Amino acid sequence: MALLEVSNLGVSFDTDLGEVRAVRDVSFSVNQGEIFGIVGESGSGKSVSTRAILRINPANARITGGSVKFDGKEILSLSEKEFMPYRGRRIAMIFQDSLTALNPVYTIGSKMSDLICQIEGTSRRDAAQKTLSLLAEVGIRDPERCFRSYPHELSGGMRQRVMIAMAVACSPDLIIADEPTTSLDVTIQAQILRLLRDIQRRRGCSVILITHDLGVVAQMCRRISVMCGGYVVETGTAEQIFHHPVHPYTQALIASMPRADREFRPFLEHSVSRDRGRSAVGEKEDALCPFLDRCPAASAACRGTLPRVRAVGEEHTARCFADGKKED
Amino acid sequence: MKHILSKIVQSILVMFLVSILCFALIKLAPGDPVLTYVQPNMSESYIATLRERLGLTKPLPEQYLLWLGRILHGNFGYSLVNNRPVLQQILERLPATFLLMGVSLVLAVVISIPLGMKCGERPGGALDRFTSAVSYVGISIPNYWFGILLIYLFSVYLGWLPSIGMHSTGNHSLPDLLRHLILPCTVMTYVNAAQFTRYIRSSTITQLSEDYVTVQKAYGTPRRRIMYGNVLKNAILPLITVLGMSLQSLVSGAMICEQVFAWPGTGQLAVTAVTTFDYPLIMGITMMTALMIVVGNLLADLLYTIVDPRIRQAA
Repeated sequence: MALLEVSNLGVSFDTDLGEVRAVRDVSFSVNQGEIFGIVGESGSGKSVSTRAILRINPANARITGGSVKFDGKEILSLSEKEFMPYRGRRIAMIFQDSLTALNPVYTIGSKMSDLICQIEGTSRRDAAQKTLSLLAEVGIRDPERCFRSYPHELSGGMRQRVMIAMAVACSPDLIIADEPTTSLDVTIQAQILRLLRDIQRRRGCSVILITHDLGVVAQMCRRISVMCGGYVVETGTAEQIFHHPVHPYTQALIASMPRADREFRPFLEHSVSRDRGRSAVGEKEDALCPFLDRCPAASAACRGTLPRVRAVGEEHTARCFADGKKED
Repeated sequence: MKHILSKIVQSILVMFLVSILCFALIKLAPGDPVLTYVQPNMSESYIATLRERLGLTKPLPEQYLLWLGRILHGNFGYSLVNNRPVLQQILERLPATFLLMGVSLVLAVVISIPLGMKCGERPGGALDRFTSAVSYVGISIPNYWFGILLIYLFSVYLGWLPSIGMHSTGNHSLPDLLRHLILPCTVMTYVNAAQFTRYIRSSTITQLSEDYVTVQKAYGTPRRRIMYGNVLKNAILPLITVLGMSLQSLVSGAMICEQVFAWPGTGQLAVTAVTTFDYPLIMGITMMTALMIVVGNLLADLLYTIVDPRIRQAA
């Protein structure tokens, strides 16, 4: 049974240049107790669509349609007050840049205790106790010292551990991890990912892992959605996505992964600069495939209409006319 | 600690440079100090002796050191106009200036922090637009003009408040003092608050776009709590620098404002000193003002290290 079901979600930003449709039609579901990956290039709408679930997009963002069901209940239409109990307790978030995501002028302990007090209504003393045990749980060796530290006094890896501790503080069912390892170096990255997986297993919660690093999702997730230009273009198991990709965009992404056994191939080098911004500011090409201009396999049908999402296998769907048999 | 020590050493150096400038300025100024003592029946040789006795024949560096030594002992010399000790004259005026500037600084801070944060919370909103307009006026209009306007309105036309001085004749009660304080204090508070509010507003806007605010939103922290429990401490940081620079006004006063309201403070004293070419007094006031600027900056630095842990560590 799906814990989270996002269907046909659309998010627009009202800007001076007019409406920017960052998320056009996004559907995915996250099962109980799984790590679900969302990959895609910058600006493809990964963060915006997941932030829309927690309603933390900037004030000029507007949800234009779709539904979000959490634990069987529609949550998009809830009032801010009705949604409040979901925050922290049922859905929590881990941010990319732990240095800016932690308040620079307060100690780790004071802000974490504040949040626990606020969400669970416990006394400050209990909250402080809980904070210390959470810091220990995420593998911080000297929790007391970390408790008294300011964010800038910790290393990037430590800060990301703190973010994870904050996220699991009130035992949420779903953790949205928005590029949790992007600002870390590779060895620390591996540690943090392992921690995330351990925590997820121990607590049995679900995780949405947003990243642009295919290696990370391959290692962490059972199912993956690939996003491009505000659409989910392909969804499937890691096996399907990596070994039998259907959508030319997914194929191109995978072909550009650096591998030891072959020369590095940049991602569709010829067209990247020409298409910058194309994925965000849309006018008439609205109804067409977001990858059309860069697609090596585009056909006449592609220029006619936007392909529907169709099943190409068990648990495997793609938004493309092509059958995906084309070899890499 | 090392950071603080080096700041103190820097401050002392700055004061030293200021004293050299101040001394040089007075030496460059026209007029021969001996002439103030000369009487028609004095002989040339007596004047020469006098010149020597006053130390004016010594080389300039030596004169400077002697002057500096006296200043360090609190001797700022004597007024050319009334022969009274300069330091004593300044100290007499200080309480009045301190009262006026202190009250208006405190009021300005108390007004500008919540107001600036409210405006920064909704830039472009009704309150923000209104406050922007009012503070632009506050920054732009000359405060003597605003002062005169207030005098005309409240003293001349309505007759509610006294227009000049600190006390009514023969009345030294507190209510009377406060009544005198209202108008000049309004002018200074307005000018300061207009400036401070703009600082707080813009730093609030910057802070609100920071990730830590989004994190708080994600965890459902109420708006008020986000503003006062998270943003406030970050948003007031720039104000500390501005306040450090405003501190000197506690001693030097506001020349124009004090002049308009005949407020018996050091600002007015400075105006009098300049118009009567009272060099020792000008030097005294300049040195005191410079000292306060340096001390103000030093305090601002110290305060920064208290409020901002990042600076503390960098130190």
